[in-house]
Amino acid sequence: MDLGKNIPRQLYKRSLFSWVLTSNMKLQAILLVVIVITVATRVLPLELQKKIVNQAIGLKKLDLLFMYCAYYLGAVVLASGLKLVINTLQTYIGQESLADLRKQLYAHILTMPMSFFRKASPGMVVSSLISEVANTGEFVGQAIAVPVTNLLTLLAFAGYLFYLNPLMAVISMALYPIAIIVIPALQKRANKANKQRVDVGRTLATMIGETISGIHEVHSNASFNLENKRYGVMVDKLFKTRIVWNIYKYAIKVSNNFFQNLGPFVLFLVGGYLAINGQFDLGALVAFLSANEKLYDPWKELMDFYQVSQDAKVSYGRIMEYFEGDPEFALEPEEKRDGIALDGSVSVKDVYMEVPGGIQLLKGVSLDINPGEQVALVGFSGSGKSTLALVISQINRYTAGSATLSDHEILAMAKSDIADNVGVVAQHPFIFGGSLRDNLLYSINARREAKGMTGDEGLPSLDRIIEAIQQVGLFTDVLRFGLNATFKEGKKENLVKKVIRIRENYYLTQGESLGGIVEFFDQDKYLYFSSVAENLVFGSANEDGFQPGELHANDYFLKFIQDAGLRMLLLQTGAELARVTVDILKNVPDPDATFFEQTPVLAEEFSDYAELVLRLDKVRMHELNAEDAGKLLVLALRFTPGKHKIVSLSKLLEGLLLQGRVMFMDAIGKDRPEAVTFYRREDYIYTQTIIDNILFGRIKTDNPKALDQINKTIISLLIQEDMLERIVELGLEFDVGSSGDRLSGGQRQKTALARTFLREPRILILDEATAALDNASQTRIQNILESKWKGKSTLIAVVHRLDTIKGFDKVAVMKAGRIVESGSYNELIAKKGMLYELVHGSSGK
Amino acid sequence: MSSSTDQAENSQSCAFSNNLDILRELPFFTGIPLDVMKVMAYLSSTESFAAGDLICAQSENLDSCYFVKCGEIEIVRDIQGEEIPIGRHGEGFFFGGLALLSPSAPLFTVRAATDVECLTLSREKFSKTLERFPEILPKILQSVVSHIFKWEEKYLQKNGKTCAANGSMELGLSLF
Repeated sequence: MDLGKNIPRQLYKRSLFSWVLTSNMKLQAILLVVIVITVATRVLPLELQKKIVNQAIGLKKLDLLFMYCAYYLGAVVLASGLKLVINTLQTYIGQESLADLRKQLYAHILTMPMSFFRKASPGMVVSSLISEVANTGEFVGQAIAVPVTNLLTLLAFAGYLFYLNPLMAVISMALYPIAIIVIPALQKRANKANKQRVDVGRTLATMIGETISGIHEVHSNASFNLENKRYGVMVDKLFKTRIVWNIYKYAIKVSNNFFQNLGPFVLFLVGGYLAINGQFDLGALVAFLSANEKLYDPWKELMDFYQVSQDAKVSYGRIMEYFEGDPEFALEPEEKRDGIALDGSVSVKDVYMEVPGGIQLLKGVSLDINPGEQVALVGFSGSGKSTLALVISQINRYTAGSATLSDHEILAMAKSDIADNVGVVAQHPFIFGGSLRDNLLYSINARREAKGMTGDEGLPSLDRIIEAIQQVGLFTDVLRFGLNATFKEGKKENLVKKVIRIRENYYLTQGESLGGIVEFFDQDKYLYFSSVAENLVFGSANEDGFQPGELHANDYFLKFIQDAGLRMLLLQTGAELARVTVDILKNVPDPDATFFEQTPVLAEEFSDYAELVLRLDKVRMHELNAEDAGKLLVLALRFTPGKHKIVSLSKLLEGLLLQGRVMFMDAIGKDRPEAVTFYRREDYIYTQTIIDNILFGRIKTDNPKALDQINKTIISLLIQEDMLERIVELGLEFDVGSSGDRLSGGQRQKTALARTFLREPRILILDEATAALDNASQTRIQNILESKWKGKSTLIAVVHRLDTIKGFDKVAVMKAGRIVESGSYNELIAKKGMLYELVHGSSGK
Repeated sequence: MSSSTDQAENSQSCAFSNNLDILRELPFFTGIPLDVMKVMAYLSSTESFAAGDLICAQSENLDSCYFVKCGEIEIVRDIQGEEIPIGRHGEGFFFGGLALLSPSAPLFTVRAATDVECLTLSREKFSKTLERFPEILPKILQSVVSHIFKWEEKYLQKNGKTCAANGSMELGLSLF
């Protein structure tokens, strides 16, 4: 079910059972029908048993025997088949309901007020949506099927027993009440003992932990005996509680067994007596015994179901309580209408904002802004400038006064109208995982999705996107991302040819000066900025088995390095890399992409290698098993001394690897000439990035001046070959990493700015949005705002650095929740009041 | 003196252990446990500057700290358009520690007088470390505070009487 525009209201008020009612009723009906049939097929075998014993065996009729046995088999098989159908239907209904619940719950959570998110932990939300709701799904699936099946079965069997012989039926039923009293009582005691066992276990664990943490005290006080005694007492306690608990557990099993077997005992006794006296036939006795045994299962299933429903009730209740809350603002307008287009005027009259605790963040703020005006909000930290900006963007709920956008009261506006007209850039913008392009288009796509636009409708052109990234200063970054992309073999043939031409042009014009900044793919030199694998196999692989990532598993290669005497050294290098990486990162909680820049170990492999390092301490290098050796080899082959500074490349290994390169070329040429194509100036190297192909080498410096110089030349060459836009497109596909952690802080901020610029909102709110940027970028963005936005869009900027506000139409100075001064920059400086003090650090008076 | 990064790769000890040795000696990082020092050494990098290159500019956002590994740097202050040289420093000089703690516009311009190679750690990477090991912040603040006190003590000993005679309250940095 697609939720579309139907975001649920007051979801937390729904009861657990209501989900059963909204589940697939058609399937539930089919389920009921199947259940009734199944129950019938369960009773049938009983009657058949009676007939087999009495008629077929008793009257010695062989053909009847065969017939009744066949029917019996048929009935039993049918019953199993139908049970399968029931289970499938149950699961389907339950999971469908669960999917529905998950979607509605998520939709509800997203609209919760900001105050909820300040206290909530993402972990709790994740577990609520994924694991905690699971037993609700289980319950919904079983809610009708299980009670109905088992109750009907019990009734049917009980009915049949009465039909056979009322006296015996009553006797066998009489046993149940006793079991129902005894067993739960034992269960209660067992649960108590279990709880005690868990508590003692926990106490013991804490005690051990404490002692180990304070081991230096134990050693210096030589309190070994004391600690051992303390520990011994606890261990003995644990020993005792476990025994008690187990005794209760076995007692329950024995009781269950006893009552189960008591039935047949009584039946044989009474039934046998009646049969001997001719009041009861054997067939009926057999049927009776059979039915009696089968009575147990429905009971057990009902008990289990009760447990499931209790668990579901508790989990569900907990979740709904946690997410109790209504959205602070209407999401969509009440009546179905098109969005409002605001003119950009903002009017704040006497607005107060009080938070729980009685603290007033805004104390009667008034401000009028005309369409297209640019206003700067300044003041010390805590003055309320961010708070005011968030009030105007409908994030904060003000408690008194009036704030309007084009005469529409903000509190009454729908979020959709605000989102259509207002663009906000936060001080710490959030960048979602995915491509850079997805992030740049996030705001636009949000509105497109809400309005149901499909295809390319409403999307900005590539030119517009390029303009936006140039305006915020992200262009060279995007270019770099694009140049760092690789082409897959077979794709983009024409682009490949262009790159080769650029390579030649570049070398002709710049070859001389490149020597210091580029490490060329020179056959006779060891390349510090390429991996060991790339150094050994000095070419691109034509067979998958020879790709750098696959070499560690390639038999030919493994034999080669063994013969070339490289294997041991590579394993040692790999071990060293693993050891140092694990040593540095083992205590770092939650390392992100930045922490893995300098190591060949990948983030997802880290725990693997941590374990491997522990093993390495115990095992000698030549005794390693193949799998561990393979892992070490992977690291050694990835090792790039220019990038991975944690281990140095010894002269010895360097020389051997260089020799190895020659040997490998020879060997491959003889044995598998088609497997690898060695680097040649005329060829495109598919395993290398575009920039590496252009330079026919790797950049070996970080110096920004040098990089700038390279960029400029490459840009002009790309333009010559009409390739610039293709590279930018590639750059836009760059994966920014989870939460954008592959972007630097400045890049993230520029992305957020470009994201909002692309939307061209009528009102633009920047909350210290350029704080993380260098001066040049800040100035550039300031210029864009003044040249392109003045008069067209209203700008409200919360500003910390005061050298950027001279061009604004109005400056409002805030202190302790009030606006203390407002006017143009020059006016206020002349007044020598608060603004003067902020700018010059002291009062002019 | 080689300014390229070739020397770092060719030397037997790797850049990481060199960085670690340097960081452990810095007064700015006194008291920080070895584990965390290793992480910071790991996240540091080496930057080279040609003679005359700008390392940091007065009033321009500085976002890293620098340690001079070899070469000489000069410090100047722009006073009303004129560049007044303040001093020159060579190997072993560390600056920019405060930039790690907060975005700041430095009061001086620092330039490479000769070809210079520096160890550098960016604020962004330092913040990521700090986020994960918040217990080091009190130690760093302690270093900064004790540095302020030492500085003012020295200043008072040299100029205490003359400043008091002038009447203006320029002293009292450590009273903040």
